[in-house]
Amino acid sequence: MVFTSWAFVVFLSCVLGALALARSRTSRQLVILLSSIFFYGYWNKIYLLLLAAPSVIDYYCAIFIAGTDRPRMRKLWVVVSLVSNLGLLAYFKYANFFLSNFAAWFGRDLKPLHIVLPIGISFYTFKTLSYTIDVYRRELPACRDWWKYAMFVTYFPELIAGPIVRASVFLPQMTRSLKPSGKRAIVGLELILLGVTKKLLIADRMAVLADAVFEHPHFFSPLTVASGVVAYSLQIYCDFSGYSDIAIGVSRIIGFDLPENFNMPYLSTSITEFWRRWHMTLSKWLRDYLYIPLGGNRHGRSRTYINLMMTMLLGGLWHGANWTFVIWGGLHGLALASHKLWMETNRGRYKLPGFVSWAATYVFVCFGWIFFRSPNFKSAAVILRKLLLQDRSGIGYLYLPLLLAIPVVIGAHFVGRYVGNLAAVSEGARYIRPPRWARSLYRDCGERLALKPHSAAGYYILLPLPGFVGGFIVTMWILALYLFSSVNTNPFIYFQF
Amino acid sequence: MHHSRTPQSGLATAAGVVFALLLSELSLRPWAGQLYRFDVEPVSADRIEAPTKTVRYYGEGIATSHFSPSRARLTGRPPLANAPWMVIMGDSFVEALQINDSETMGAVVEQLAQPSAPISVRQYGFPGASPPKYAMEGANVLRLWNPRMVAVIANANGFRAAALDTHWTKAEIRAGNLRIEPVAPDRLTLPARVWFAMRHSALLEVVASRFILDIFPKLPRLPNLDTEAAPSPATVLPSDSEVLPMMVKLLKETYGERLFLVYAAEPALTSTQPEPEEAATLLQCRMQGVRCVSTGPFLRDALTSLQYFGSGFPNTAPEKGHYNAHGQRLVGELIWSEYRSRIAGAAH
Repeated sequence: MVFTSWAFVVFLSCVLGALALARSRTSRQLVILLSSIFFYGYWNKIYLLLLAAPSVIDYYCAIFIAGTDRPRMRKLWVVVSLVSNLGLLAYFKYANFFLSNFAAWFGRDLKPLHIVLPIGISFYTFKTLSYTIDVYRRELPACRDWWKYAMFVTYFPELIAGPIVRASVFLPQMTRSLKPSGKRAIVGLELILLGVTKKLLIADRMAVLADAVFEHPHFFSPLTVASGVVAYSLQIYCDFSGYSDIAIGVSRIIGFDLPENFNMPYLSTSITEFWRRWHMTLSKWLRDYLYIPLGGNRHGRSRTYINLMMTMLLGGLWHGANWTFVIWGGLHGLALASHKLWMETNRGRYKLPGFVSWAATYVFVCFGWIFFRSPNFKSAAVILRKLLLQDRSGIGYLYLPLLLAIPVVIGAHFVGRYVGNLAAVSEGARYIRPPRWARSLYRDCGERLALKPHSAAGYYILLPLPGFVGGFIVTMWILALYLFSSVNTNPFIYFQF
Repeated sequence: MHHSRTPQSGLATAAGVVFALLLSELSLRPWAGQLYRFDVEPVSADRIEAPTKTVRYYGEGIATSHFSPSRARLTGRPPLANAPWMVIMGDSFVEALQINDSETMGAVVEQLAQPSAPISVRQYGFPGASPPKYAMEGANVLRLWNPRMVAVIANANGFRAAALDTHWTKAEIRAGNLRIEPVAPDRLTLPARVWFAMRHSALLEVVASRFILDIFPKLPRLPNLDTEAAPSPATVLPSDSEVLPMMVKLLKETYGERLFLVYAAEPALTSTQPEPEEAATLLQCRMQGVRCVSTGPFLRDALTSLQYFGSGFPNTAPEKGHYNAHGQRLVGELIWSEYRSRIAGAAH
């Protein structure tokens, strides 16, 4: 059930209706659990069992870990959790990848297994892993109600493609009433509208050019190939961050505050900054559960670089069972290590102009996307040859929606930057001094709901609703979405991961 | 003070909504104007001196087109006095809302013919139509224009069994021949009628067009349950291979030696192999003695030699959808080439 489908609109309406009718918090929690099960079962009923496995195994593993002080037993149960989660992930996601590579290396003829990749498996595996590891580290008490834990695992807004919500963020919010309210609904609906706009108006439009260029690069001229790469950079950002916005917005209405996943990553002036702004829940997960356990930066410079490379290579592989993803991860690992080396050796003596740093970062990120999106190395090589003007052949194709999307995205980033600056100069960690015309609204629901929801949550501009300006903006926004959005909506890119 | 609870803020919101709608109406005025905005007259009533109708389109490409009240797509040139006529018929490929008048295949023929054998072209595009519709209009077209040549442009869809039942015509197979019936206008469904009724507001029209053309395109073609009986479950659709020879035969019987059939191939980036229908249509033409050509080899060659895409527009995917100016030019050149060889043959 894609967020941008009518089926989801009907589903969500039913869920919110049921939540409004439910009398107690417990019954509302059960509504959410059953809705989540239906949501996943709508795609594949059999794979509900797969979702049930971590819900049961990790629940008991955590209880056993919390129930003993014997280090060996604690370690045993966390290993059981790791093996079961990573085993399922390895089988369903990587079995054919390993098989094909084994066959290629040893010259064997092995037929691929008929495995359907369960959607969201990479996301919920990381989610449940973080839970048992946190309990093992004594950073989180074990959840004693199975159905509450199951609700955390299956929670539908972020089940398929994140943000990767940790139990330490989600479970404490179970004490909330979870009754939809008008004020939360305003914030949530605005986020949903923003996410749908990113997805339908930009990402799906950009996909038209990006798909053609990446699947058949030999047909296109170097300039068109370059525009296809830029289109893909916009597509993947708007697709994934749009999904996150919708997930966060839906959760806001329900009563949960999910952590931010994107913070204008294309404004980054270094690759390190990029990873602080891009898919933030994944990069923090990799930092806390992979990079730091590997030793982080605690064992000398060279070991730090190796750890960075290892983390990013595995992060690349997490995205998909293909060497192109591994190369993408490796490139980013190399860039992160290089940037770290530069920062440590340079110590601020030489500073590149801001625009140059930004441009270099963006070009590098796009360079990485070439491997990320290309179906194979052959296509990536054709694209690189075209971009380096080693092959100037091809048909030129000017794609107007890209020319329209670029100023829209730049404008949106200016607005975002403005809000960020407001946040930076305002008192308090999360408080934004709103523009005068919106101040009453911020007093109403901003501080409590939008601006101080959770320490991990981000900043939002709230439309001045109700009011003349708000009515005008929302009407124009919905009309633009209706008239100009892509009709043939694609599944979200991160569904495949 | 809580703005949300005052009636003034509710009124202000409503005023904002109304202002946005009014602004949209004014902004969309120049862009509104689908083909069906005007009352379409039958082909039999077509005439040169009729006032032209303007249609603007931005769904696939951005273009302004002009039509006669009988749906003849104008070429941007006035008809030449005493010059012979040529008629081009087809579906939306001939209607060609996506391109300007001077880029249509008919305009290309006129341009190419101008120096040596001037000719006027009348082109009729009926979106979603198939050979039965072109045959049904045959008598009108021959009577009105007495054309030297009738070029029929059809793609694979036009020769399939499903093409027997369109929203223009309904054809049945009787004793190996096609029996054609026009579809009555009252078959238009309620949404389509609502759409027509909205034509006085640009905003409503664009909103309705978007819904009917893009979001739910099958809606206008749903059978109207009020006026039509449900199809008999016993009706068995003939196979495509059965229908193709009958379609070609039908056109040949209608236009005789004047007929020239252009198969509008639609190559894709994913495959440069010919469509199965392409070879079958050309074979049928040969068997029935109909002059026929396919755009397929030319478009595939243009693609593989990296010259141009025959389909696709700056706001759609390349090599998908209707013919663009390159594709239209190719069809025009093929028609002109055939016409030139015919007049050369007649001179000898």
